[in-house]
Amino acid sequence: MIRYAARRLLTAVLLLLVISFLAFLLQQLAPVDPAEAVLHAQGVPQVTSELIAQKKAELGLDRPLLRQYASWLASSVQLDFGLSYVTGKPVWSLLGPAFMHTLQLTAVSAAAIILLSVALGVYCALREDAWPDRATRGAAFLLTAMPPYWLAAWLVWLFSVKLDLLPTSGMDSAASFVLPTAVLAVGYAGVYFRVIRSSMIAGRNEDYVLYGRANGLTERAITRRVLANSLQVAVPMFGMAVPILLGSTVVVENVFAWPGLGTLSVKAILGRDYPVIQAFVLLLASSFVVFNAVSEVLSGLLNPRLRKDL
Amino acid sequence: MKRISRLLSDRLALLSLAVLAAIAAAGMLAPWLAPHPPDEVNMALRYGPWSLHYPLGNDQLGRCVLSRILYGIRPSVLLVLAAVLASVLIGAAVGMAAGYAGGRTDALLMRLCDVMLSFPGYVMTLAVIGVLGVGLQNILLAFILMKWAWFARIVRSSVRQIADADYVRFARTLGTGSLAILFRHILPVCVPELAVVASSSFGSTLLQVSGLSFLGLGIQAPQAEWGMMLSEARQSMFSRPELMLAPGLMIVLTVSAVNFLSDAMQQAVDPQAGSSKRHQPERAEAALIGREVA
Amino acid sequence: MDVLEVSRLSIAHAGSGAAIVPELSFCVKEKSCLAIVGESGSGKSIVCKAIMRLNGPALRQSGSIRFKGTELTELSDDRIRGLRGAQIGMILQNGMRAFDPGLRLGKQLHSVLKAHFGWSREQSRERLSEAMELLLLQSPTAVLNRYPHELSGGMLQRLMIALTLVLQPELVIADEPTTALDAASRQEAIGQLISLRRQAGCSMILISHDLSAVERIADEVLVLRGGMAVERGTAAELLTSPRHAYTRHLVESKHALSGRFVQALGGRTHAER
Repeated sequence: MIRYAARRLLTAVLLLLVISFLAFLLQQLAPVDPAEAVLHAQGVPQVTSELIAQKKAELGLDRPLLRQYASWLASSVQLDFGLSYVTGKPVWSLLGPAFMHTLQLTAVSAAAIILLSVALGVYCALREDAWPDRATRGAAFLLTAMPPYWLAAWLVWLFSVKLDLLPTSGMDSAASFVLPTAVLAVGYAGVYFRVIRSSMIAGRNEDYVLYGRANGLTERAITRRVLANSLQVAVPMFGMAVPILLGSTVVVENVFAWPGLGTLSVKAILGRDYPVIQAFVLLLASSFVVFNAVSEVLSGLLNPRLRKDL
Repeated sequence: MKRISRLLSDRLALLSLAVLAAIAAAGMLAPWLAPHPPDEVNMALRYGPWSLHYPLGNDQLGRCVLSRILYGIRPSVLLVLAAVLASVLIGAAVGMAAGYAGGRTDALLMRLCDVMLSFPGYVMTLAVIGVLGVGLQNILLAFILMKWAWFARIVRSSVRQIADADYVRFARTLGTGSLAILFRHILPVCVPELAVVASSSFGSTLLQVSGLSFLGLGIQAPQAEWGMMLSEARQSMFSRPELMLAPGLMIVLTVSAVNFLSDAMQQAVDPQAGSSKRHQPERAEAALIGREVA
Repeated sequence: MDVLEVSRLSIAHAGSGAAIVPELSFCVKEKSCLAIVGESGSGKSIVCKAIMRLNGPALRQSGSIRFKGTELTELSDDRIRGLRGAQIGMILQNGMRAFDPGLRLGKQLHSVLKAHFGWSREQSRERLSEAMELLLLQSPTAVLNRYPHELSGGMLQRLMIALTLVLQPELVIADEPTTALDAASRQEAIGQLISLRRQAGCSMILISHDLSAVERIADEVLVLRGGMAVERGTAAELLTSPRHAYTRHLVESKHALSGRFVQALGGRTHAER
């Protein structure tokens, strides 16, 4: 097991190196000269070629590429991503709080997604092909075919404008979480509950269920076992949902003006604020890799069959 | 052939296919079908209601909503479809190369696929747009860069699986060329799975592309695109929510049709995903009867 | 006296109404073993599940099933659940699949014993160990601490038999208990089933197409084809001089198969025998 975890960690680290190098290259590929952009950001009125050359030396941009990468990586690890081209502030002072806000939204949504998909999955599996099951699947089908921002706009229109129950945007109170979470949860749970439902239905036809019944176990006890086995399948799926959510809150955050990574990154892209884009890419890709590795190790721990092979 | 006829016997799948064909045709024939030029501004008709002349009304600049919807099919659906097809082709080429070559080339290409697949799609897309700038073509480019790896994997595994199969070896000894083997034996095996994966990724890409356009990262005004139209409609959401209806419903309709078709294809490919297991004991039985006497 | 009397049992698909078992009657005498023989698809397993009312709502059954004078078809769900395991036991074909892959075996077996007898974990462990020792299973405690995937199919099969021994049901239904095993384990399993019958003093229904197992374990044989009884009689007479063409076909194909197999392997099989 420890060897497996170590191997998994090693690949994760390698992947992180590849990702960080790509993120580093991002700035090299960008059509803006970093030195010039920094000068602009610092409000220098007259940008001359001497000033640019001076700045380049100051920022170390005249060094070979790999040396630049190494020093960039070293400072990135310390969360020093340089200055924003647009605001002139340190990138992390923008990114840090935004990341926390997005993380909060992601955590709440992930909890809602897991609860909703397990509850619906079990409910529908127990009523396979009866009308509640069909209705839920139909609704989920429609909801997953809906653009999330469209659904979000209608929810805002209904709950904030017509009924005046919930705030339209921002992140001021617990009520602010309701609509963004609902939009995210509905979209994801609509996919995940189907996985749980079908794995429970498949599980119910397993021989061990027949044997349990033949030995006089109650339906409740049997359902619990089938669910436990289905959840084992679902753990890695849910583990991966978190980083995917982190990335896909972009649209929802923009609709609800959530002060998170999504809003920040779109602003940065539109403003060509490369250091911010770079840090954003690095941050999200890293959390993706880390969550991926953690959820894999976790599901290995949970599943006795896998545990043996580790 | 059996799979296709099974697919065609599914009425819902047929309906979905018809809807998609109609949408595609409408997009291609937009210049002839649209009652007005899609970017013809007429401030006198701002927020005009539904009328005979303007069947879906007018938007905040008095443009014909129906015409914009029809023209919007091109970037929203047709270009996305083209991007999906492009990534399938690239993936198929890479998968074929990896599967045929085997050895180190295979390992290298598959490692590359692993790396591509371990990237979060959304972040990659944003990164590419970040570097290359805002625009639909950059989004689609990012998409192709991301997705080919899926298809490469599918094709590669069917090539590996089949390249060693007896009938292919037999064909080879008969002197059939690689291309003929490819078309006769390998493609028929991986096309169904490719179609299932491609169609479901078509649906999700459609949603993502419209979402990025909605954020202003995709196509630029005054071009008509559904996500873009929704973004414009959102400005007047509190007073004129009805402007969000037509483009949103078109997206729902298209994505639903794609998803239905994808589900139906999945079923046609693997009609009894659950019951395939049921046959195994019988096969085991048959095998064991032979061992009974040993 | 008959432990089980099945009369005019018919089973059909609930949806299409297509009959799987048109009409079937048979009985199991006390302390005797009835073998139900037939090819796959003949409805053997479904008949046995019908006795314990284990067929899902997709199948509809009618007719009378009397167990020690009680009409099973009229019992409430709770009552029949109480009978399952404790009064009528079942042994499945594939040990590898008969247990929950995610739970330790001791825990699974204990949950059954707890449901019927309210035993503590220690009590269950003790009784199970005794039964396993009777079946010559080595290091029972270690086995009970294992997960199903860590043991062989034959081992798991023996665990099912051990559980049955502890539960001491009046009637045991063994559904193809030897089919999924290799030749060596098969001989063992046959021995175990025989000793189960002796130790527990129970009646048994043996579903099988393994005629050598039938020969050794069963007293009576019922030949099933398409859900219909084509022939019945004592094991000895039916297997040596089958009257019905279908039974003859079964018996002969077995002989033919073994003959061909011996031929294919040359003299080796003879030597091993």
